[in-house]
Amino acid sequence: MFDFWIILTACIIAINSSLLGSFLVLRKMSLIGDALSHSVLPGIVIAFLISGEINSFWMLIGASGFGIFAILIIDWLNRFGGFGKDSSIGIVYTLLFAIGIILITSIAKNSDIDVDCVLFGDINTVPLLPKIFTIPVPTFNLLIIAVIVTLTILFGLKGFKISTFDKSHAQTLGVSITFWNYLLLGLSSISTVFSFDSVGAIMVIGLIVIPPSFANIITRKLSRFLIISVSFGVVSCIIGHCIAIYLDIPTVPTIGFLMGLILILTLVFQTFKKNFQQRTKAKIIKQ
Amino acid sequence: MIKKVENPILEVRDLTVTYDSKPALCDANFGIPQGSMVGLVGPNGAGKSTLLKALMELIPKSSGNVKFFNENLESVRKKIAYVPQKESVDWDFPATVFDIVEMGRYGSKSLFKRLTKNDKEIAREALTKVKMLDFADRHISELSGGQQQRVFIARALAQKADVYLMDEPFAGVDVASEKTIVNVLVQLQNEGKTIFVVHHNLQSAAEYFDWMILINKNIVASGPIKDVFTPELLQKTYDGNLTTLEQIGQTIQKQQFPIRES
Repeated sequence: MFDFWIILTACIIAINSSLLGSFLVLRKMSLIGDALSHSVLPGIVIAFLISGEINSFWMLIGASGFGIFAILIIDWLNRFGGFGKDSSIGIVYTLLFAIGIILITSIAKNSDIDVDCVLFGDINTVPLLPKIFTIPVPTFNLLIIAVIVTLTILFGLKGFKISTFDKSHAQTLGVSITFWNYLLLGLSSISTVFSFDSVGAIMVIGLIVIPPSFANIITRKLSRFLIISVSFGVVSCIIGHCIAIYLDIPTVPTIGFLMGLILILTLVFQTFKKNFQQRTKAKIIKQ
Repeated sequence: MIKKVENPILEVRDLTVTYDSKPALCDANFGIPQGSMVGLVGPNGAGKSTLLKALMELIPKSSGNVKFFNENLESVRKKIAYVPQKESVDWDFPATVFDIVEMGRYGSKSLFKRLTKNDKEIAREALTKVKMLDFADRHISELSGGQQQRVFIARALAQKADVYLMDEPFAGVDVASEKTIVNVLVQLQNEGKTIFVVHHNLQSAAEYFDWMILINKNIVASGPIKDVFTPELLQKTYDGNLTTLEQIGQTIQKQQFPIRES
């Protein structure tokens, strides 16, 4: 049962992140996930200072607030500051993450938040946490978000699709680009915040970027892209945790390593396959 | 020379667009008669695409107003189709040719509904018109430049609009695709539709269009092709650089090989 909760939690995070990540990657905005996962830190610390407890409702409000705040400043820097999108993201998340770290190591010294936990998460403690309807609190929260995210993507598929592929065409049809953009970023922000304390800042980005990138080299159809992306995330989490138990190493980095490894091996394999096909084609033409 | 038009299908008044407080388009005033095939011609950076985007409200205008069918864009959106430059999107996006053309059937209200059989039939018809039906299940990254452009035109056709605004539909397009596209445009015009095309090739401009707008930050001329396509007005539009420009154009054309269809 203990491992079941860990795997389940990881899998739900994988579903949320890879679904939202698919559109972030297709919009070339995957670094937004990076920005979000780091920018929420000051929100978490400030909420802790005010409410005095970890894992509280306030903490989530604080973190989501900072997530959305970060997105707004990035947008502002990008539009009015004349900075590129990548630079804007870099500026904002460094600034906010630095504030978070300074707060943790000074004012919030006595809190249970520590820098390691922020970076790598603490998924192995999930089964020990208080439960709602016999489900550990973080898993329960993530489950609700998973339902919201999946339904939004399912019903909003056309909106996300058209606003991602061709913004100006969508606009001329009367589709609100701002609405779909902020819906995607808002959901990503909430999902990131809830995933944050289980898998840490680094893996949140991993789960947003790697599964869609894998799908990108495997398939060329959007519906399949989403399914492959989610399956890749989920399977990696299950196998990753099993390997972690077997080798007695931490779960989260194992999942990250596994995903990266499979991605690169697939890419290498595909390149070889292409070369081979081209060579056989050339041979046939010669004959 | 701006020719006055009675009951114009598109009317532009005092339209000014600025980028970073530099004017990209100044005080444009013109009207377009219904059923015409309009070429928007001018040198690079003359504000051709800017004008088109401002008409579609994709960029904010500093002043002036635009009326389609004597109404604001918002209330007649469905009657107007826009074809952006094909370079403006990522052709590696996971979608098939049919997926893209289908998007012409999307609307702000129908985004949450399923597409009907009729919608799919319209998309298929549009693909047939641009001779791309055989490619319906192809992934869009496997297309040549000309084929990409034809897919974009098909998407606009699927919108079943009355006015078509196209940004450089002949740029980077092979000869066969150009012919197909011209045929489609002629057919549209025969159906009474109005077509507004940003164009950069002066040689073919005289052949394709019956109405022409010359632009270089200002509208230099707007009217029937026989009145507008004159050496004096062209010289004025190209700031007297026309001869060199034309020479360069001709040399390039001579050296160019037709792009092969894959």
